[in-house]
Amino acid sequence: MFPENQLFFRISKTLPLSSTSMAAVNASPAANLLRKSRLFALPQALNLHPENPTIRVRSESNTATLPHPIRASIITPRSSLLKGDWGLKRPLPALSTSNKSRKPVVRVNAIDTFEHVTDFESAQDHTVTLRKFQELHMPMSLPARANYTQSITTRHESPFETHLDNTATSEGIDKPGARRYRHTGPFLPGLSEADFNTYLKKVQREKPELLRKLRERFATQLNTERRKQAQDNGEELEALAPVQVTDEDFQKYLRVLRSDPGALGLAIFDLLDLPSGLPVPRERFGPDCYQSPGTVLSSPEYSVRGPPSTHPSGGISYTRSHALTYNHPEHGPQVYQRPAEARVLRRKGRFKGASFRAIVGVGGIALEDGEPKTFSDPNAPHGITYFDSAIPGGAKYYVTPYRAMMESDGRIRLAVHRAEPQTRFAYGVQNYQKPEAAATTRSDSSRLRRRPIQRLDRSRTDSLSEPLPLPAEPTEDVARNLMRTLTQR
Amino acid sequence: MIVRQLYSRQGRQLLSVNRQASILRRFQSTETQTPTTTVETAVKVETEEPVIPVPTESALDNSTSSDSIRLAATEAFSRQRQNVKNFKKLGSVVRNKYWPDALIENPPLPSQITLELLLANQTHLGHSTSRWNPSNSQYIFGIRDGIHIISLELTAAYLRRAAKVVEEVAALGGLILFVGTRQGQKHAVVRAAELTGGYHVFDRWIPGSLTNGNEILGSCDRKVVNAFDEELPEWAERLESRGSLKPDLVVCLNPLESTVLLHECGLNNVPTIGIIDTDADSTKVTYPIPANDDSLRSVSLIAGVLGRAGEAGQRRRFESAKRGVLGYRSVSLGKKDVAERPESEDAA
Repeated sequence: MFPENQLFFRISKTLPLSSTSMAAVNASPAANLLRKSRLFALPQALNLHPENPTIRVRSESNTATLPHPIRASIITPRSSLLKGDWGLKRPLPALSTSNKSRKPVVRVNAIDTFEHVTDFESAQDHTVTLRKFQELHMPMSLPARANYTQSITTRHESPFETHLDNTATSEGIDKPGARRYRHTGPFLPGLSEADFNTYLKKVQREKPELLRKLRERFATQLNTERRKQAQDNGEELEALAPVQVTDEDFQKYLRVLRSDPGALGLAIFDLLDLPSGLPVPRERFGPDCYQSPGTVLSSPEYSVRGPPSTHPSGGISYTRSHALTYNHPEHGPQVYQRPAEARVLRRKGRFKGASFRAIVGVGGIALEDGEPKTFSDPNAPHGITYFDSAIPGGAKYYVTPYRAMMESDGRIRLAVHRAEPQTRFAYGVQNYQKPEAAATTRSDSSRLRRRPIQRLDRSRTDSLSEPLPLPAEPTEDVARNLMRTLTQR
Repeated sequence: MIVRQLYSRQGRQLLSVNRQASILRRFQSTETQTPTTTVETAVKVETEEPVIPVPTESALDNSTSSDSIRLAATEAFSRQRQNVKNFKKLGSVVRNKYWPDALIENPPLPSQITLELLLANQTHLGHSTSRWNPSNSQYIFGIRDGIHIISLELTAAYLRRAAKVVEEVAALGGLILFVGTRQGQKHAVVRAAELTGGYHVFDRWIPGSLTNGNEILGSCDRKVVNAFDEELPEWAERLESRGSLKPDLVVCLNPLESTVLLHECGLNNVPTIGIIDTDADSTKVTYPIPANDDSLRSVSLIAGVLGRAGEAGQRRRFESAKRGVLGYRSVSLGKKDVAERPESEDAA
């Protein structure tokens, strides 16, 4: 956990032991204590832009909230907060902690600085975003992008599935169909020039080891061929002796590989365990291009943007499915979850001839207002097409989130659609209406009341024909209906 | 004007008159139908408590009904007391609760110093590496996150040594002065001085209090006490000729800001104990304790341990005084054979 720790380094220098656990046992009692202390157990700060500075042009403000936290958030019990005791070098001032918030959360940039102050700031931004995200009750999905030609939404695929939740060291990595979210090698399209050169030097240093691996690979290949040949000829398989690879054979194999870009590309990707990039059709490939194997990354989007910098779930939600139902006391189990309020951050409009969609914030996550795919949007919520300063508290409307994904660079991507009027009615929430408009459509709620509310245990047509549920319905029918609805979804 | 006052007075009385509260409109709503559930489990209906009539003016007039009211009220009161008695035994008791002031109010003994205790109280956190004083290199264990880490073992060893110094000085009847002028250190400084039977400065060390003591502390009260700390008023006139008192040991909790104090102590041959962080000069004090001097918990722990040591020393002094053994030369005034031990009332 502390590879860069100088303290650890010092201990391992004084005790030249190969095993770190042995070092932990034999180190001084104070060193053991320090290693177990909570302050030292704080993880090191993450690098914000890990490995792909060239992949995308960024224009961000220095004061903006980071797309993901890079330092741990710290809280302290209330009894200690009274004296400003956070377990750090010195007590933190109440003015910027306990006087500002009832439950202050801080992140520490430096335990002590030259100016004799502890450099800290409030960590409420990410902490509250996480809390708000967890209130949405969304499972994380693997990233997938819906085409504009397709009107369907992307499928939910949990990153926690056994065949997807793998790294190079996972147990099930050798099973057929197993995919992984991380390779040991870097994502070459995301490397900068300097990083690539550094990586090349590292590979050059490892050349003997790589040649040994390649030789093993060659031997396995020869053995397989020999075995297959023996099987075809009807020879005794047990009597087969393993093929001995001579240096001459190996040199010959290397020459063959060098002359065949297709085979060499595959061998290199396999040896260095590199994630392969976008799949390119073979006919587009020149004959002298090095071929890359098909991707084994768990999501196709990772081969475009690179493997994820975190676990694909980002650790912000551990549920596998969205099988969570709200049972309304009056209207029964609901198809949609409780709508969340979206704040219009930027209205939709045109700039230099290009039109852009509105940008809204849901639970601290900014996203584009998804709907509709048509050109005209007559039922757009108030304040989305133009800025209206008269709306108290700014323009907001209700949306139903349906997908949450973690992008390769650690940003949360949330997919929502506008909450339907019946859903809003069932949960007792209303979009903002102008006062004069609200006066004319006073009977809106009574109109909604007459219309049926979509239930989870009814198919759409059933619920339309039957607005009120019969009290004594056979339970078999309910179960059958439920199964039918679930299979349709 | 008078009329308006009258009106306002009447209006206030009208407000206090008991009236039936207006029923909220939403309770009259018939739009939402409350689903009625039939519960099959029989619920035991409680027998109604005897209703105690509220004493009204008319009831007070009637003497017979007043007796019955008083009786009922007494019964209800005794029943309530009985209930309190019965239910007091129920519930849970919270034990081992963290109490932040425990370190100051009930500090550990010098024999109870452990590395875990020091670690938990943040004594190991030094200053930024760019702030270090190379004279502290022997106390530094390593570097972590840009700060120096002070060796816990050395802190424990030096703290035990300082505790011994405080105990011996207290056992010989010396005057011990605790100085901690940083914000938040007041409580710890006062408590340590209280345990030691010594003196404290928590706001500001007046420069010259030692080198120019007659001018600065000349007007302060002084008294002469015997071996059992009882005042001897007959010595009062002798005090006039004596100069101001000087401490026999100074415990400085923030040597970085107390340069003047430490310099004066050096000039007057007063031994000093100081908490030396990695940016302080350890040669400024006689007995350094390498530890974190910024954390209030660290300072409270060190002051508390020294206070406990001083307390043990004072106990030893009283015990030996009972046996007639004194840690200092006894002085007699005329025919009375008493020990002299001057004490000063702290002016700060």
